[in-house]
Amino acid sequence: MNCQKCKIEIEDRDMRRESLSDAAEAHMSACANCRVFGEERLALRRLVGGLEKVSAPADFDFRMRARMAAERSVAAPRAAWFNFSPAALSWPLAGCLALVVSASLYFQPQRPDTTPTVPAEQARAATPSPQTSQTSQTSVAAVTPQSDQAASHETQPGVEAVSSNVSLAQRRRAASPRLVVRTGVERESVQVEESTSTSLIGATPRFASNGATRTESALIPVQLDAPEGQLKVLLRDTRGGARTISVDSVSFGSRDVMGRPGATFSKASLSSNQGVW
Amino acid sequence: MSAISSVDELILPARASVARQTAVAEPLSDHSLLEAARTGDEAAFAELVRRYRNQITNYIYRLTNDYEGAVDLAQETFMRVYRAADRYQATYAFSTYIYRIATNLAISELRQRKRRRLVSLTGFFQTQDQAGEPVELDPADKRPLQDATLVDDERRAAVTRAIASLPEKYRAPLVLRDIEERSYEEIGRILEMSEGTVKSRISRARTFLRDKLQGYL
Repeated sequence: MNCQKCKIEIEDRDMRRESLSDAAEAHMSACANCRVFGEERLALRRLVGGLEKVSAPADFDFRMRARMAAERSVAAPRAAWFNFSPAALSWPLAGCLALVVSASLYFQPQRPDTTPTVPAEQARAATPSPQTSQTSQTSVAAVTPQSDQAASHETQPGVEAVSSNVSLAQRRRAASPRLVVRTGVERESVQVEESTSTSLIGATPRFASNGATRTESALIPVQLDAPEGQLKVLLRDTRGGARTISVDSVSFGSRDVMGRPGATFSKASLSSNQGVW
Repeated sequence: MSAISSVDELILPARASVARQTAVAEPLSDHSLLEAARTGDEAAFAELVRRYRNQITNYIYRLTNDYEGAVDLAQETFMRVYRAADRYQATYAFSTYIYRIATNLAISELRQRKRRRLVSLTGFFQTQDQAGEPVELDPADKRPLQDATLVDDERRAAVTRAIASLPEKYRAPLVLRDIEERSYEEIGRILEMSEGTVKSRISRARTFLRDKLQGYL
């Protein structure tokens, strides 16, 4: 055995056995350098290994448990937050959904009508042929397009539409007394009557007869060459009451000019106006 | 109602019940205890703490040379074991696992301490070791000592200071080998280095110590 191997064995020696191999012992007895090295290492290891062992304090476990408890108390809400899963909210979400659906169904019949205008084609289709009334006026159908059911009656004559409207309101009233409060003001059907002096041949009046409070949506086109005259609007409510309103026609002067006898007009062509502007 | 037989039972009653249980049957292995702790058995974890609290405290104290800090770090070591119980894999011995955690904590503490280290008055006399790290001047006291008790105290203090002055990469292997008496193989696993590196560093550390403790050998 050489010195290097002997020193390695001295270094690797387990202090609990404290015994070297016979070859190392023989080398150390012969080699003073290795013997000194071995003695130094042995003394050093005894010195280091002989240090007193420090122990944990008596309250180590107590402090340990306190730290663990503090850790749990802090980690509990955090863990609950990180363990969030959508499935945990399934029942509350289902309850909210059911509440929203039931509330929408409950309040749906009480909504005000939001379809004030009837398209011209529907109004035209719903308009019956001019019929002679007591005042020999042209009666126009009253249309109350407030629901799909009512819309289905638009193709019927106005009187029937009104009656169906009334029956619908009565059904609602009978079904739900609460509706009476909301729909206490019966909607009035609108009839537009044109006086004989203002017979608008070929011009079917357009109007929206959603109610008396919605007269602003009644559109009645008037031809420019039509003679001047009053427009009478007959308002009938479902209780049978009727009211006639006279509406003066609005003229901006063109009808006056065109209505003068002997007035002749020629169309101005674009080419004739070239160079003027 | 049973009477409390010890302070430990007062502090950790669950642990005392496990202790009684294990006194009758064979002591559970560390792996079994950690497995039980993983399922929420605090008594099993308390038993693990009881087995290793002194070793870990002593080990960290030898590395940091600060008793209060060592106690705190030992507790932090157990807390990390407790937190990571679910991820523990019984590939090696539990002692290897817990010593590795303790070593990492102690080395982190030493590095933090180095960052906030104050300028030493003896810094002018500092030398550098082969790794380039400054070594505090600690000349051997060669005066004759008078009393055996004082000699022992002085010797212990000198050895403690000498160990504390070692570079950390030499200190941990030396403490594990010469104080904790761990095998080279286990030290290699704890420090995550090869066995040859461990032997080399231990030899280097002993050479440093021999130079510092020349008067006590």
